[in-house]
Amino acid sequence: MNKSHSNHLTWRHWVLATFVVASFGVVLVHLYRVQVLDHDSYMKEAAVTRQGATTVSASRGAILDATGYPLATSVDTWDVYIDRFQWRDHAKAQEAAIGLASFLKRDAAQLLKDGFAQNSGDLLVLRNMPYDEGLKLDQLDLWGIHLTRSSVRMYPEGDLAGQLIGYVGRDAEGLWGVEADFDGMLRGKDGWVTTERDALGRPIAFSKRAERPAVEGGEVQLTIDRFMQAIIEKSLESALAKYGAKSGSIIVMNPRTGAVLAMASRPAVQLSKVNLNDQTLDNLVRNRAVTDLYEPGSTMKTLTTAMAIERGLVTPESTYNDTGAVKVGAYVIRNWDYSAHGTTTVRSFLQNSLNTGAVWLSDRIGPDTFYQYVKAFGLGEATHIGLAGEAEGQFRTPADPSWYPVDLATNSYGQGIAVTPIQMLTAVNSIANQGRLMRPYVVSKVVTSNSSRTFGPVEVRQVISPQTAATVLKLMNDVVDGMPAHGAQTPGYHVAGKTGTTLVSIPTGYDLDSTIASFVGFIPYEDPQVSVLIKIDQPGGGLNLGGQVAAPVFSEIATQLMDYLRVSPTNPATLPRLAGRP
Amino acid sequence: MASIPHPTPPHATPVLPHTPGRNPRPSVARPMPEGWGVARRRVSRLMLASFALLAVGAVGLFQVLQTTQVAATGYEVRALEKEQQDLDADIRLLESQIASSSNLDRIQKEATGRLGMTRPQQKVRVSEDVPAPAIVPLPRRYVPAQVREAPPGVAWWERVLGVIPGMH
Repeated sequence: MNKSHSNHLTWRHWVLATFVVASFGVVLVHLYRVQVLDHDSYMKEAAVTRQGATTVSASRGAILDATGYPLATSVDTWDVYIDRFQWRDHAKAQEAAIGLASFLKRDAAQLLKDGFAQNSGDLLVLRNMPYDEGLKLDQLDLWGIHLTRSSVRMYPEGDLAGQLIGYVGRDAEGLWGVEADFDGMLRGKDGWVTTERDALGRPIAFSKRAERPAVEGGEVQLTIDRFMQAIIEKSLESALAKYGAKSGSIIVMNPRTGAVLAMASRPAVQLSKVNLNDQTLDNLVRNRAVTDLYEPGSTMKTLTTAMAIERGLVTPESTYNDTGAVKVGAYVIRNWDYSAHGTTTVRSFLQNSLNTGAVWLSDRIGPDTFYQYVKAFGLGEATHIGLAGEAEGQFRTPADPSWYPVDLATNSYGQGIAVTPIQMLTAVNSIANQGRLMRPYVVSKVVTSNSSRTFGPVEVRQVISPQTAATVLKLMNDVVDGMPAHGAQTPGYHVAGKTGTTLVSIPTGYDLDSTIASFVGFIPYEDPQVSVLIKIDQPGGGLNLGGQVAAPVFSEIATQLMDYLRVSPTNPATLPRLAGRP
Repeated sequence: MASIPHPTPPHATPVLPHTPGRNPRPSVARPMPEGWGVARRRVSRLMLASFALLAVGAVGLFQVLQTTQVAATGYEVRALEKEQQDLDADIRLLESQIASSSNLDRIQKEATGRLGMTRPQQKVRVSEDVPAPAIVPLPRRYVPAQVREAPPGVAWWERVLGVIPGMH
């Protein structure tokens, strides 16, 4: 009976058997998934558990000036952490806290309290501990105290060229300036080391080890010369203080190559005291020489004159009748000093900076040709200097519905047209460079671990002929050296230049009480080594014209630059004589 | 014809009598005492075992020695790497200190303060036919970039050792 009973399979047996087979089937499918389909991902997960990876920080590259001096460089440091997990052992933690407090000259009880209060992650005790001190601390082998390699950015020249150099945030990312614009090249690439670790997370001495070495950050060399930069920064600061001005910019360039030798704006950020929470920081870090627009005023007359001479419409001796005012449509344009000079040559119009002369020239040039040349000089478009935030400039042309003939007249003497200081100096530089417009550049070399790029002069176009350029350059020399007691005259040298004064534009028109005083010039006139643009915004007090405010600053700067560059005097007769000598 | 008796050599091996059921052994050069063959087999196995044990021990010892050597070299390499990192950090710090020492403000303070120098009231320029010496701004960019040599490839003997289990 038993036998017959055992041979008889009831539905319960079949259910049980099916359940068992199905369970095995599920297990097999799961095994197949784990061991075959998802094999790689599980292998990686296991490796992560077993292997410990350590990041090897790449050192950020230096920013060098034209002479090779590091304007920004990185120094290795340590960040000190308390491991809250290890500090669960209170006895050892107390001992470590006493040791750490003694080393850091801090309160041990407070360290202990902070360490115990840490809920998640390790507690950062000190950021950027000097490297050698970190090594000493590491040798103490304090329980639950970890040191992580870090670095801190150093600025050996202090706050020099702060807007241009830029700043690096705590995440090692450049925030503005060259630090931000060339962040990818300066930053380098972090490496890593993976080693097998034991159950306590300690590296196993001769286990499998894989590593990718850190790639050191590249170096960026600027065309900026720190000596020239220091000269213009000091002069700009003293000029702002002397004339009670709110802000200003100075640029020094090599007119032949387009290399920017110095560039400063005020107010400026102090790299040694950067407060990232400061609401006015945007205002301080802005490189105004590149980002801010202004109306160039009478410095524009040099370009208008160049256009007229290039088209063969006038010569330096051509004349017009200056009645002190000229009517354009419904508007009357007057000279800046309300003067009238009668029969006036082109040379005299430039020397006296007469608005009527510029209107006369623009009328002869015609709007189409005038704006063609304005664009050819690079106004209204970015210079592509290679710095972020560059403004393009603004002006109306006859193609715009809002353009009126009076725009041509005002544009000819630098009003109603907005340019950046770097655009204006680049355009005027073509006069000192035989009519060739050069692209300005501020970075001369970028060297990374696997490449080296050199940036040199780039000719954009020939705007005017060399003959026209030479003629206008001589006219600019007559403006400075041909006028008695011109503020830009520099003892020992012939200077070519032009002043500019314009009213500050506001949304409703112009602020009649505020001016922008500027000067643009070359020295020495015979063989221009440097070109300088000076722009002083809203000078207070009684002096507010370009000739009164900006021109003397040029003279002060030019004297120092000529000394520094060891340029022989071209006009020795104007040098002061030693007592008792002929 | 009388046969000439064959003289028996003094050390000739006597011929063993044939034993039924046993294959006749080939004659050898000299007679062996009773039980000699069994003793030789026993010694041979013992020696084989000894040799085997010695060989295993030698391989084990070799492996232990080599592993120890690898570990020691590994520690040495890590120590040298760390020393290199420290030296690199020192170089960067020294570069920064050199740069800070030639800071323009500091030089001016040293000149006017410690050395008592003043700005010239008058400049005297003397024309010379000899060209001026080239300006050598300091500091020059220190030393040429260091090029690290690529590690050599795996040697043949390392590949051979790699075949041995446990030597990875």
